[in-house]
Amino acid sequence: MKTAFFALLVREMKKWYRTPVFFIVSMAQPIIWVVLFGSAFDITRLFGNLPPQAIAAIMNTEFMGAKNYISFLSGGIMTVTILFASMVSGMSLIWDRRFGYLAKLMVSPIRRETVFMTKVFSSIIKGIVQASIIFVVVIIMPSGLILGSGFGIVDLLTIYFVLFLCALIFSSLFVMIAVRTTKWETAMGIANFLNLPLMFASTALFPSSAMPGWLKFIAVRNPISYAANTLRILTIKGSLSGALINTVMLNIAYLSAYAVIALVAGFIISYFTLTDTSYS
Amino acid sequence: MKSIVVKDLAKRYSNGTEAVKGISFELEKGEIFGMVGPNGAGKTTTIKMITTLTTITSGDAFVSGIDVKKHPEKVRRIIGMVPQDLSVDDDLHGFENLVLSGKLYGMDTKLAVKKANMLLDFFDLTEFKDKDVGSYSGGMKKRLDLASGLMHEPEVLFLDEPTLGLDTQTRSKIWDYVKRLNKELNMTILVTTHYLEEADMLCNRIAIVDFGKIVALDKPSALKEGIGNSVMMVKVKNDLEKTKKLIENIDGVGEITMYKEDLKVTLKRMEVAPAILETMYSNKITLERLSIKEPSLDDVFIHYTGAALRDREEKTDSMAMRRTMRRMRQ
Repeated sequence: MKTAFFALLVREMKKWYRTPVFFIVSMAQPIIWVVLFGSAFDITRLFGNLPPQAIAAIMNTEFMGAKNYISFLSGGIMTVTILFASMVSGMSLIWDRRFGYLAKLMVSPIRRETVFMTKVFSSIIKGIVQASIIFVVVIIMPSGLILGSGFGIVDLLTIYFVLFLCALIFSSLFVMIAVRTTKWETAMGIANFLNLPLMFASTALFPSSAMPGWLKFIAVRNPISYAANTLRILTIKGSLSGALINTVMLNIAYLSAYAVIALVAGFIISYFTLTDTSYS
Repeated sequence: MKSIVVKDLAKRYSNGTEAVKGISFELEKGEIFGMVGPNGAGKTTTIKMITTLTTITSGDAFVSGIDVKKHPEKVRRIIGMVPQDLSVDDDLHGFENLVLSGKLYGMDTKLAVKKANMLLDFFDLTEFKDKDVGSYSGGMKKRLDLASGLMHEPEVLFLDEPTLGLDTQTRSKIWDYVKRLNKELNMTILVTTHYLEEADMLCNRIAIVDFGKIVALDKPSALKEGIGNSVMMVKVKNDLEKTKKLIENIDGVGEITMYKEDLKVTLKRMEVAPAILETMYSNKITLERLSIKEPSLDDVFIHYTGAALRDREEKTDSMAMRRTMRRMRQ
């Protein structure tokens, strides 16, 4: 069934790049986050009167040693980009049902899970491409992301692995929602309802030390926080010491656990939902 | 071996609706079999059960001897299905749609490309093969949808309302393709439609479905013969009951029923017609309208279900039509 999986993946990609307006808009949004939000909310400016050493100390303890706010924000925005990309492409399953394409898939001998897997993997590819563009933008923009000294190929590969896990979690989640929903409006409502709390109850935009206790409790368990923090360590710190390597490994372990849960749940739900299409 | 065997097939949805209440029929290889009935009669649900799209509540279905309940994957390999709503991808080219369909059945690129070109040619779509399907007309989309259901050369083809929402010319063209497929490839075809005249023309046998059951099943000609010969519709100005009694006593008149404001008189022989007119004339009954016709499938339908198909589905049909039209225009 590899043939069907790749053919359907190619279909998703064609539909994506043949809609350039959609592609550009979906890219513009995270760039706006970085450039506008990143510049407007540059918290370090509030420290204006403090001596440089004091600022450096705060940045070290609260902002993981980032040299500026955008360096801190970058990891968060890359993660959030993945979240939004997963949402949009996961939801495309609803259009497939609406426009009858799902019926064609269901009457063919492909495995029911293949439908789920193609949606998830196309969503991962789209998310990672978008996150990569953000990564390039924050590096080349003036006073953007300042990579730690000693940033190397291993760090880069690890970043991509984290992005992959993050995309796997969220696309599984959103495809799962889409497979159970027949109405676009309902699915969008649920997705929006999930997205904002996922983003704000995380360390994507701000360090958890600025949060009240209850929010912090949620934020540190949010997969977005694990991903954002790991990306920060990898980009800001440069060559990693033993303790940081352990943190990265631990975060990846947490993300993997989330990914396995989301994937298995999505797999099972899609299998049983798509076996009987009479609900649609 | 029979192409399709269906035994006491029934479907009850989780909300308690009994869409199909025990349907049985058998299809020979190479047969075109029509299911006729109003929307909501259970035609689509029956097809969905045989094509593995929905679970079977009770009863059995076999396609080319394969048990649908036990081996749905095997059944999917040998059937082609063109659903009521279009199932082509508007964002892809016509050619790409077909190649993708082939790959869903595990074809390699070379074979899929070859088949796609053949089918594009068969359905006169070669000229448009590299255009977005979104730019196709409704009839072209339907043809592409048919082609896409044929990529893997199915043994049995299911067509659910293939001509719904299409204009008359496109409709007859679609039927031409269907007839050719049946003739040239000896393909067994199960089709649902509520255009009775089309079913009459195309199908070897017809099942009339109403409220989830088959109320009649036979060759179109046999069905028509079965309800008597010619039918005379009479509308009179005065005294309907009296007229009915007078006509009843004439030798050669069969059953008389009311259909709306008309008397529907079954004639055993055509020669009875003048006698009826004479009796009415001599009894001073003023005639308002009169027509005589050979029985049509419409009459068969009225006979078995007690209502004209048209009346029954005025509401649901216009809804389905609007939905299809909307989709076609996109």
